[in-house]
Amino acid sequence: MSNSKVRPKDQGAGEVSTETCRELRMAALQAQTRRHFLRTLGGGLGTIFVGTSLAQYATPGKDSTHSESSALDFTRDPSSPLSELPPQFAAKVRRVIYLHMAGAPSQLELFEHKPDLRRLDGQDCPASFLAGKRFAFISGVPKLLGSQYPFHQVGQSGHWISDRLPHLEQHLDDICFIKSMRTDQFNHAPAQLLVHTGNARLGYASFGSWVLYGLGTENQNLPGFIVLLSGGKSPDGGKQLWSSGFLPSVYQGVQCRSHGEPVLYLDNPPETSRSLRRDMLGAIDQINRQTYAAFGNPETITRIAQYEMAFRMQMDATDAMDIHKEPDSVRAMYGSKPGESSFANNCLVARRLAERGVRFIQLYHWGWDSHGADAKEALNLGFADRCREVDQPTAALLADLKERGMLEDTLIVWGGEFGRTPMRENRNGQEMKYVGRDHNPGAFTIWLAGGGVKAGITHGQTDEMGYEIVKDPVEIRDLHATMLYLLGFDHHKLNYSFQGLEQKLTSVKPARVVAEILA
Amino acid sequence: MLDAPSPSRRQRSVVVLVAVVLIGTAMGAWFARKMSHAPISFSSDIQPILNQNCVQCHGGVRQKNGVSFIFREEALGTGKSGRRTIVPGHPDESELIRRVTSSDPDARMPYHSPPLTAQQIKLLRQWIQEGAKWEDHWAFVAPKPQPLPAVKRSDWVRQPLDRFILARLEKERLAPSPEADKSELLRRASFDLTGLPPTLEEQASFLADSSPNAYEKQVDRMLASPRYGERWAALWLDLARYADTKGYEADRERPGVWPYRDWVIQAFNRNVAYDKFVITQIAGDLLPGATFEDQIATSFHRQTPNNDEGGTDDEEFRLIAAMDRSATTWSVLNGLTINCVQCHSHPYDPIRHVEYYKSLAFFNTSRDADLPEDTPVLRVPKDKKRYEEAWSLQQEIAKLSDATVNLGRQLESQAKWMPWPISTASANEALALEWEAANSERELAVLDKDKLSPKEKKDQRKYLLSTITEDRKRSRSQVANASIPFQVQDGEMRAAANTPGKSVYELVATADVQTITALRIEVLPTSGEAARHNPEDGFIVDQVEAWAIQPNGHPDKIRFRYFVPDSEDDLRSAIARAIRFGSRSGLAGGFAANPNLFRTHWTIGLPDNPLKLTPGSRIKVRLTQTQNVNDKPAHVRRARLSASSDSCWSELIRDQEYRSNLMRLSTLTQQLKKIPSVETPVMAEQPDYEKRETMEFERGNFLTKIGPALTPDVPGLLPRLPANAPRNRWTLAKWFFSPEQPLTARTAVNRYWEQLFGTGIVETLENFGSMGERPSHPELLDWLALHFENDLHWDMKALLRELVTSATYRQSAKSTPTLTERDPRNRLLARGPQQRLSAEMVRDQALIASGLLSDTMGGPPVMPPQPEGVWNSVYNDSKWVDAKGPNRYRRAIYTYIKRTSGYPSFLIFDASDHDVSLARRIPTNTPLQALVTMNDPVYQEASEALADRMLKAADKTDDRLRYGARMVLSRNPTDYEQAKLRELFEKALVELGAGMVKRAAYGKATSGNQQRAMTAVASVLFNLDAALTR
Repeated sequence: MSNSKVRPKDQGAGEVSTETCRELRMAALQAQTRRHFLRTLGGGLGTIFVGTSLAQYATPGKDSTHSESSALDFTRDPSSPLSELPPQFAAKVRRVIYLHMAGAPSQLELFEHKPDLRRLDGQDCPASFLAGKRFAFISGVPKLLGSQYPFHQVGQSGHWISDRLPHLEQHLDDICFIKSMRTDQFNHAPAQLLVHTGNARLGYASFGSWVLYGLGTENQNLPGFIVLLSGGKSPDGGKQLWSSGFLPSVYQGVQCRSHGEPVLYLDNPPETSRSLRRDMLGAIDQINRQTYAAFGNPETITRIAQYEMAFRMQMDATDAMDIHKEPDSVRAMYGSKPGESSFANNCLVARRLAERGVRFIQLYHWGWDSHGADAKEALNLGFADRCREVDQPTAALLADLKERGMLEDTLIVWGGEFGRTPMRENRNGQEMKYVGRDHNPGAFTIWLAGGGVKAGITHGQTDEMGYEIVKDPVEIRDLHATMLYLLGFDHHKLNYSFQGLEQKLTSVKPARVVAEILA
Repeated sequence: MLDAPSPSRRQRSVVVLVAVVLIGTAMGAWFARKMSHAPISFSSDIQPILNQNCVQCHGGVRQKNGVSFIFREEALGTGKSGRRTIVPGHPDESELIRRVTSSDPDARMPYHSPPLTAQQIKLLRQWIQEGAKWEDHWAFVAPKPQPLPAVKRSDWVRQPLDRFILARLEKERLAPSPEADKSELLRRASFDLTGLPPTLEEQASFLADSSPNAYEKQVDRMLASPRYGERWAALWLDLARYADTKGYEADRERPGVWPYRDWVIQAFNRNVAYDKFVITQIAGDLLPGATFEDQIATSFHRQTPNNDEGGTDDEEFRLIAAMDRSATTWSVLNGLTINCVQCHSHPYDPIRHVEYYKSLAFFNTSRDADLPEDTPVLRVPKDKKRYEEAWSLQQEIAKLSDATVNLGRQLESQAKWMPWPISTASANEALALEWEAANSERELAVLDKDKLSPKEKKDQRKYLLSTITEDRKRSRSQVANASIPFQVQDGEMRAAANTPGKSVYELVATADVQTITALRIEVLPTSGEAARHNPEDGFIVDQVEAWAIQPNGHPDKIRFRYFVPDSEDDLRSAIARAIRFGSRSGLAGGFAANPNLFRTHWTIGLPDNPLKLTPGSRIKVRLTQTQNVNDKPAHVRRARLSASSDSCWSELIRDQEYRSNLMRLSTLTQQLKKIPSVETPVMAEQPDYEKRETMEFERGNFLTKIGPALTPDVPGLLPRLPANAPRNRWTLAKWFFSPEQPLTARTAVNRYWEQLFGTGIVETLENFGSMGERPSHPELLDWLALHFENDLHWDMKALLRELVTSATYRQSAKSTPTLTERDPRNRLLARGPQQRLSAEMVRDQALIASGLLSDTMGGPPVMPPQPEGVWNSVYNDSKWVDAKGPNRYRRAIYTYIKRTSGYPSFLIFDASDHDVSLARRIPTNTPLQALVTMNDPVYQEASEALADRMLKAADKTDDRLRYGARMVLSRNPTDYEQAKLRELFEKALVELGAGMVKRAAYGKATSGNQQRAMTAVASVLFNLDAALTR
């Protein structure tokens, strides 16, 4: 893994020097002999800090017997709980950009070409579609609904795509579709929780938190797991989607904002100039050192380091989020306009964060819940706006990363929390004002692009109606296992002791790495 | 190594093994045994080997090849290989030994993993040789009385507990630290007991008091302070997953939960004994002579999230809440983790799958059902003085409702019924829309009765008007006017698949009875008895009407005097409707199963006079249905009719008491409504006629249930419930406090210990099972548990008093390099505890030091400043509005808790997000915390206010700085600190002289650069390590 992408740090910005702090820490370590016992951040198991010798565990290509037998240790020096740890085996990617389309976009209007469904448009849905099924809203006998938009084939891969994503379609040869995603949740909040935490209930750790816990992050001056929202609302699952759950809160996602401070509490109060702040930090630092000398509590050293890092984060996070610094041409490519909370701006920021060594970047775009109850979300109206909002920026992000040579070690995932029915929604048994579809947990499409993933292929298949999977079903936990594999982990090994269990993202049901999509 | 290596820790490197120094309890004991050839202990020698190496494949979840090591009888059984896994007394005949020693890599266990060490194999052999005795995990065996250990330095001891700590230190050849100086000790105790630093007066009085019990006097003062309850409530509200919103997508407000929060604070302040404190919260509704406050306390288990998202299955989320209650009860009271047993037997502890559901059964018969209105609720007056009044009204309403419903049910079951087979049935949409339009007009007419804001009223009016227009428009259409014919099966109506969302069902039956006194309409689950366990979507009938059709076709409308309700829900709706639209409307005969249908529901119409029918007449019944349940039309899917000629119904019509009860219910309901109140969700049992049964869910899936109905019970590894007690929550709650219960007292004392010393005696507060940590001082844990239970009778303040007045607690936190090396995590307590302040304490310290803190207690939650745009939840209009005035500066415990969007600065300081019960906050130390205390406007305001106080307190800069330090650090600054603060103040003055900054948030009168420079100093004080710790 190369380290070249870390931006050089702004040195000498504060009186609080990294160097002296490190010395202090080393002195403390020496005073405690070579063995140094620390609080695990985890299940409360006293264990051992082995310093930097962890590198030896990055064992690319180690045989599977070894990786099965060796349990991993995620203990860190508590003064840098986000410090990088090597993956279990050679990773294909070093970061993830996850584009979550909250509300569940219709696969039948985007990627699932179903001519038979269009032929049967307007006919009563067969009884076999309804028997034993649980729906959010459909009741009685709904009508079948063909795609609202025309489809065509593009590129070498010959992927089918509708006319709604004219920019993205130029990149389909870089994309791997999974058209056989399946979930067991048909309501937004639980389904989003399942996608993000591996569990439909509250209280579990999000994917990004797991990755941060397992790998840490390159750049200690920025949060390692950053969340950006667009579409005007938080996703239905709320902040739990980037919660650290039972993992220590240091691993929770940090929501960054395009209005006001990019990170909460990042800016100095208006009455505190940066030079005054530097003086203040100097005083804090000096007094805290005296406290350490008097009490000898290692947490004091940690605190000294955190204040120093906070000072650097103020600058680095502000800089990372500032898309004014991009040339006009790049901003035009994304369709970004500084100052808006737009998906375009967030995609551009995502690239800047990726460049700066942020491990997990999660974008949410809201408004995909096309029931047909409202013009803003209807397939024939608002849905087209959503497509416009994400099409160009998504394409630009792929192109931009590729051009910078970063696509090969970045994993991009695009998708919602479930699919939509081939039946037109008939809430209360009546035809709706606008065109929409109900939730379909039985089949949906996501796509991946980037390192380690076969480009230009489709995995899995649904029936002629796009209703049920007929080939190669992929569970959410399989997707998680696959993503972890690309990041260098056997999903069984990335675990954490809590409530008497070795908790893991993929939970207890069997999960498999979808080997068919691996490059 | 001072911590016993946990069996769960997967050692991944040689480094770890080399570094292990075996002075931990378990391993120490192991060494001792090894030296003396003492018999092997299953719990400390064998189970860790099995848990670490075998149980993942051969345990509660997976039992590969039929082999499991959870229960002894399983381990002694025969695996798929046909050989016995363990043959007691004969290691060489045991497949286990053959497998762990095999040289064939495909046969050798652990499979494709490093082999067991020679030492481990030797232990296994010796254990089998000695009979393979199984032992219960330590925590499942009741605590044993422990003699107080003899110690050399008995003069050091202040409390019996000190002997246990000191004995261990002496064994380790460590000396305890000297007592902390007075300032350090007072700060520590003050935060621990009240959550606040000592005030200047409190500091001065303690420093000036040279009496031998000066410290004890302070402790008593703090325990008596109302601040004590506010501090300890924070801990309990984490466990109770207390929040002001319901969670999940909509995350709407629960405006009536705060009376429960106030109950907790008051219970701590009144020093309710721990057993009573817990029993009231688990089963306050079932206590004989339960008080109003006992009912409020049961809101503990109504703090579970509710899912109001459109299209969710209420039964699914009702069950999730019930499972949460069961899991939370076990984890809070016993440190047992049973959630994982939902899908399979416990992977490590001997708890079987079915036992999970037996334990769930205690919580599966409560009346809540994930309804948006959060029923059942208690109306709690905003003014405490009216509690008595509100309670007596609610009690009487409950009594009268019971009597009314029970009388009806009794008559219904005694009366003779003649079935009236339905001959034709159909549904019509137009009629339903007409009814809805008319009903909306009635609603419009009484809109002014509702307590709504002008905006809400306007919106409601708009909504009603558009409903009327839309309904009338559609009802005139051809589609709506066409009646949909229904199937009739065995004289019962079966709805068609294409039944309109709003329908009037018309049922026609041939009436061959001549005189009838009652007409019964039953709505049945389509799946019959199966619905008892897999309920169907519910139904709502708004109105029931009937006609007698003469043989000549002439319809005579039947006038009903009463509709006899079959449930309290139906009765309550009828009364509410009568109040709203006049008494006749209450008799519209609506009935419902909301949200789910799992039994037959009925309503009985009683005609004004016995109905005499001409032979050849028919009966026509219309059921109007316009509403939704679970976001789907509230269809009637199966119904039947019957008639009774019994005279009991005519008597009921003449029964003055029945009539006056109904009138009285209406009056009482109206009186109750007039008392300004909030609605607090509480626990209440289902009436007997509705009681759910619990079955096992196959692999945890609530849609597939298997086996017989289960009797509520506790897991078999624990003591039995009393033989003749009813199997309900009250019995369960009392059982936790029975003398033989091994875990309740241990879990409780461990929690207090952790709060004061930073780490529990059992570090994993949430898990006392075999995968949890072992106690650092097992004898002390048992001693404390029995002491708390038998000597202190669960008196929480008395226990805390003993803990904080112990010599152990009173030690200085200063460490030495030797001590840090020997015991970096201070598990042996050769020095005093030093902890970071909790999220609440960080805020409250800043407010009290700056003089901003409001001392108002209780009441609705408040919204201190929070950055804009933090709340933007979907489908939810609620807004965060920064409080003005004193509510801006209330203690942290009163801050509004929104589940999907917690108060940011608290979350950054590791507060719970209150989604699930949290047993232990894990403190972290991050740059984001530094940003909060440096930049959050709350701390900026506090810094400015503190600066004002410092400037007013004295004339000389040095005195001002000293004052500030005493406020924030609870002590005088050191000379070095004083010098550094002074240096900063002077630098800041110079900087500010440049005139580049303006003053913002707090403070009206700016006193210039002095003030601003002092604000910088105050801010630095709040950010010192010494300020963030106690």
